[in-house]
Amino acid sequence: MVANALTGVRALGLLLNWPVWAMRHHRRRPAVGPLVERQSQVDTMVLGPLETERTTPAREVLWLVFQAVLGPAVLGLSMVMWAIALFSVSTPLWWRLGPPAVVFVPVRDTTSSVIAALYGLILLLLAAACSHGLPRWHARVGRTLLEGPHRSRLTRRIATLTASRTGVLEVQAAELRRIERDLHDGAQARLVSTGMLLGLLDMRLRELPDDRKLLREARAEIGAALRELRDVVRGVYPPILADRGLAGGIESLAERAGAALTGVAVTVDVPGRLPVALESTVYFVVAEALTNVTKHSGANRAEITVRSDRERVRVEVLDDGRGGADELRGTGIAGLRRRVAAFDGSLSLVSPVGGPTTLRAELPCVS
Amino acid sequence: MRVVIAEDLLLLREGLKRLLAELGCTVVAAVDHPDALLEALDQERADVAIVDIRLPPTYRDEGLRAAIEARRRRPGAPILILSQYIEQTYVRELLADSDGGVGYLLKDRVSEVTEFLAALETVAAGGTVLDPDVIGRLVNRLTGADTLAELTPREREVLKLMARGLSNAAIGTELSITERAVCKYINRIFSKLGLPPTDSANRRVLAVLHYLDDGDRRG
Repeated sequence: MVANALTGVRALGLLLNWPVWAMRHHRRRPAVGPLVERQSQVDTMVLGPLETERTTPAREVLWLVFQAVLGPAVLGLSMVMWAIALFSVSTPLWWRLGPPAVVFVPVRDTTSSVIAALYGLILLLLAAACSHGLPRWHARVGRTLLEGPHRSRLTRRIATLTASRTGVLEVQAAELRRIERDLHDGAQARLVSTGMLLGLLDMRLRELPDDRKLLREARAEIGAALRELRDVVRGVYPPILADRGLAGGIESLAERAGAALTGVAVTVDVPGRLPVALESTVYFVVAEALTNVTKHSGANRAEITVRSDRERVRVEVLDDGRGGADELRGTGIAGLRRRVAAFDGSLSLVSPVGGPTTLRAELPCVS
Repeated sequence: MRVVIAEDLLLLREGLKRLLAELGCTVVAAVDHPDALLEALDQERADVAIVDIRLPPTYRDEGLRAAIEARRRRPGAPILILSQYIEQTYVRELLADSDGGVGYLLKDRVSEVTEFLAALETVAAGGTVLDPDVIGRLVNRLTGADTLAELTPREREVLKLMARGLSNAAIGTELSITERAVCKYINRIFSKLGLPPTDSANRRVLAVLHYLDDGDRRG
């Protein structure tokens, strides 16, 4: 409370000095920063740690006035209360010494002095309660003045989190692309080059059948390593997405799914390009859905639709299979749900026994 | 054989140069940019160009686009595309002009030196060579859809090898059968699929590929 009052005095000083300050430094508002910093330390002691938010000049001035008036006032009020309370409680000790006094009740004898002391006791409790509660109230009001009401603080917090999450996802997508490129230019190229050298050696060693057998094994190993790397890269960031964007990626998925189906209809209506992270999420949703269609549904045909406006991307994969898909069996759909949830999107699977099965995902177009 | 190489990674460009020299080819130009490739193809009398799909400036499919552009300028200009990935979309775009003299192989295949050289020669001679992966995928797709169900497993084997651009003799060696037996299989495949018989190896490949490629759209 003393700290609050000190802040108040400083705030008053700042306010009074404002015109002088403005003339001297050609600045329109006083330097509130250090004081806010100081006071927020005090508030944190009372309210516990809270994230600080950016404030506005108007709020800072309002806050200064509040501190200047309420800081000393609250301290004053509290001191007066304690003084009166102590004075009243001690009435039985001194009433005989001085002239007749009025402490809540006229004090003339021992009985009335005890009644006054009882009143004092109540006041004492009240003062204690104030000493405990007023600084909290002070801190809370101060914070609200500085940062806006709790609700709008939450709204801003959500906006910050959304933005930072988008940032994280973009960074992650960029990382994936980098890994894909590093593998392509690094390990994959090196393996191809080693394969070439071994091929040459093989050609020269035609007359030495025993050594050639070892060579063939070595080359088979390299072939296997390259195949594995290709699968890894496809899982990390499908190269076709980088080359041809979402439409090209979905077309290529549909072509691959064609192995087990008689027809796959594709509609991709996405103006411009989506953020990279969103594109690969949509791609993996369709990929997983098609895997389920070809592996489990017994479907003949599938329909893929991807549409987006400024607000949302909608993905739908429909098949004419036997239905009855249960997302609790197998981890594919659960994994997709997590991926989609990371974008604040939703995913639904409708699959009555007998079919048809529809998988829908809807994702906001964060940018 | 005079060869132009377009590959942005130094390691692979140098490796290919060395390999081709060893195989008795002359590398007339080794470039790392699609523009330089088009320029080299304009200026050098190259028998074939080996082109990586990913080239600068964006490292997407510039190599493929440059190849298509080169073939637009000079129809049938032989080009063998190399890539770390096989994409059906790219196969279709590459085969779109039906002029022959194209190939699309995974980079891994280069280590099979003799087969690689054979593929290069086929493309240079106006033939078509596709990676076994491409054919495998096309054939599997149609087998799943029952379109190729009439073929026996052996005929399917022959079809795959034929679609890859192998000659009758090469198919015979691969399957350990005589060339005449290969001919018989091929005639039977063509009549089962209702394709017109043809003697030109290249037209034969294209006919089969287009048949396979159209498969999923026919449904």
